[in-house]
Amino acid sequence: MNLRLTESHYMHLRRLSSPSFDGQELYAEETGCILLVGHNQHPERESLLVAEVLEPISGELSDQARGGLTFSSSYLRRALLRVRERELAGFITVHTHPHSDNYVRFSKYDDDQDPQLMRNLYELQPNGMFGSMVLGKRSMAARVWLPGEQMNHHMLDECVVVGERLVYLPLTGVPAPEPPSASEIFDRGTVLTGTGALARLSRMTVGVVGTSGTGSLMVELLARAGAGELVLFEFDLLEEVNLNRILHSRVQDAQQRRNKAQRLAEALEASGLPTRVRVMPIGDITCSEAAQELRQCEILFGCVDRDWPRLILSQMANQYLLPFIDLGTEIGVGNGVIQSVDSRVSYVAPNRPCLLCSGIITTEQLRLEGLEPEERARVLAMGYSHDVQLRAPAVMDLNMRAASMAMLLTRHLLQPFLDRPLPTHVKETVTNFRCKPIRLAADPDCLICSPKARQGLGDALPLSTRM
Amino acid sequence: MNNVILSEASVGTQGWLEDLDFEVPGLNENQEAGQSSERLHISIALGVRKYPQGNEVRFRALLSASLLQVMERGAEALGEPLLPPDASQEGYPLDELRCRERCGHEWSEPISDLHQPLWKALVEGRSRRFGIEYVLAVKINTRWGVAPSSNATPRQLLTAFGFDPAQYTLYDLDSTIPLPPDTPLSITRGREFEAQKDGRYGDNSRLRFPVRGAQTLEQDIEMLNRAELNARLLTHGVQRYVEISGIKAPSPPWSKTEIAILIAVPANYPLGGLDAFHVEAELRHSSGSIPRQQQCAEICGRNWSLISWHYASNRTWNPLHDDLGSHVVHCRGFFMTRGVSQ
Repeated sequence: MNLRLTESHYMHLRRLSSPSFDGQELYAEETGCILLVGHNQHPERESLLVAEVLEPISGELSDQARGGLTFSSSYLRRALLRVRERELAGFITVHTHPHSDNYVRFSKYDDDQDPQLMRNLYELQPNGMFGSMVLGKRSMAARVWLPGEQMNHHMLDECVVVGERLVYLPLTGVPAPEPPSASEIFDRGTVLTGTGALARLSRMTVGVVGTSGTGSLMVELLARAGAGELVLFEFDLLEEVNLNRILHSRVQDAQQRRNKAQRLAEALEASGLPTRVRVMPIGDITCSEAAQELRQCEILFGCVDRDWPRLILSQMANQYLLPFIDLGTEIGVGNGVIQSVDSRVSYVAPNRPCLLCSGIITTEQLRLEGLEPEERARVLAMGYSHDVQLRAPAVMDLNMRAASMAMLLTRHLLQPFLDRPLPTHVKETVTNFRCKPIRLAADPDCLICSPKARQGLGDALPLSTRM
Repeated sequence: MNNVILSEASVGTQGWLEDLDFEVPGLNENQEAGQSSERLHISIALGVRKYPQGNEVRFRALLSASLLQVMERGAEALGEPLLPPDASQEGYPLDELRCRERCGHEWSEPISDLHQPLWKALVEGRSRRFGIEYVLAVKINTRWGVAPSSNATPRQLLTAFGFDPAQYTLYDLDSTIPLPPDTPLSITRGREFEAQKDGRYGDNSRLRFPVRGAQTLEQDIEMLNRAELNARLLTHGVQRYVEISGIKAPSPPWSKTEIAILIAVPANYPLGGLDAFHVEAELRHSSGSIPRQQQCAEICGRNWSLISWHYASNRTWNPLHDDLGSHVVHCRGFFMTRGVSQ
């Protein structure tokens, strides 16, 4: 099981623990804090999600001058009540071992004391999830305790830090491997040699929602970059009008009205590339069952032309602390004249603007998409609303520009090479050859991406799927 | 045991069903296996009161019912449920059931076998008048128990429930305010508390940190080794040294990336402070000579060069802040001079 947390929470955690490591004194004191966590209970990819870092206030930590650390009952109590109030899964106590640097492990004293505390916590919150973490200067170890007479525990595997980049840190008390040089991300042999960030990609499960125009290209790029596993969500069937832009689609597939993702999976299988491809039986992520399957992914790509699935992907990014890259293209035609030919890639992650507050999706369009077809037709007939997605023109060459940019951003997340922070959107306007980054501030009151809204809540909060 | 039979003529038709002082006719020990088991499905009138002084209330129960079920029905009739609420599913309630003498006003001891059927209790001589002794049941975390008194302190309550008051604090349900351990509470039946333990962690042993300025050299060395530096105590004659290996240094200009240094420790350490240090004699600098190098000496079987590396006059050794660890940091500075950064 992994622990996922936002970059800002990770920095907060390290800042709180810094008194144990920054000083030059031999007798640096232990310190600590509490991580309140949500839970992703996907049966195959369970993870804990940090929703909040609860700082100690004066008097809540003691005994530091004795080479140890005591979390007062009032501090633990405050954490427990906050867990109940926010309907979170539980919490993880964090303490430091000031003299541990590259390697850290729980002490015998920790091992003796932890079960007593955990037994008490499970008695107070039987359905909770509780654990502990120990920090060295450049290492950390974490474990989750299982309720029961024996009070067994299991160690967590990795800490996944999600933010301006994706960082994987071991939670087994050993140092993180040295990062490879940035150039390796473009090394054509790296995937085969198994080192660096691309090696990380080869261990990742990647979700692609929509496998039509941009989605089929995205799948191809991810497979060629060595992605470990692709999980495809698609409910649409191939038609002849799709043949101009869906990779690997054939006339016979359109005639047989085959599922777009099934055809892609078949083509990749035939390529012999090591990437595993799974097509989800329910491809429409506005259905709860399908949306729940997104939880198994470590990064999400939105290649859809509807706002509702984009909304759900934005919620997933914040609730389950997942990086989400959204792709879009638009060819604007009016009065027989081309008005715009645009491609857009947006990066959504915790503490970044979501697609709602950055204006990509609108509540008006969401409302229309949430209506049943007959009612939607009636609403559109009134003339006050219009469905912007109806039969929009699309071509492969424009889709390629969006997919290409999305893949480059993915490489940057794993092994940074850009010389400036990631913008909210990268928009390319082909009509005047301009590519511009668009930086927006997140709306602090946004119901999707405000830290107090959904961040790290995991399964505690339902997604906006169909009733 | 008595085979109780009452003539219908003496009580009227089925009069024994309603009159609490009449015995139930036709019951014997072998009733369950006997021919007239249908009689066990008869509902008879019983009396119950809050033990010891409450008013008696009538209720009905099947002869086949267990005394626990009789108790629950009785509590229902009294309007005060038993505690814990789901006791019948997990065991016995904390409240107790007593029975009044058939001919008299004395009460039995609490009945221990509540699974005994009512008919059998009657056959064994129990009356149809019961009393429920409501105890001062309270809940802490998931456990129900009986409070020692209505004005017990949190400390007494925790102890009564098996929690160590040195490690646990008592709170009201969903409250963040700790209940003062020695202030009497006003405990009512059914009140719920939560006992929260403190959390204890520590490095490899629960050391008591020495008073600054009074620590021993050995303690400092132990702490340095915990900090993943390789430090060891050497003695040359009566002079003590600490050798520290693995000091990181940039190369170039230094000929090695990990250097061993030797620090001479005065006998009155830590009040007598540390100053300067030796480097291993084989160390070379790209300039051709090691800056600030003084004389060489053989110490503990190895050649060392003394380095004239001192504290500034406005920042002299202060035993309240300085120790072996801070001196190592000071010595590291020597290797980082001349524009080298790391």
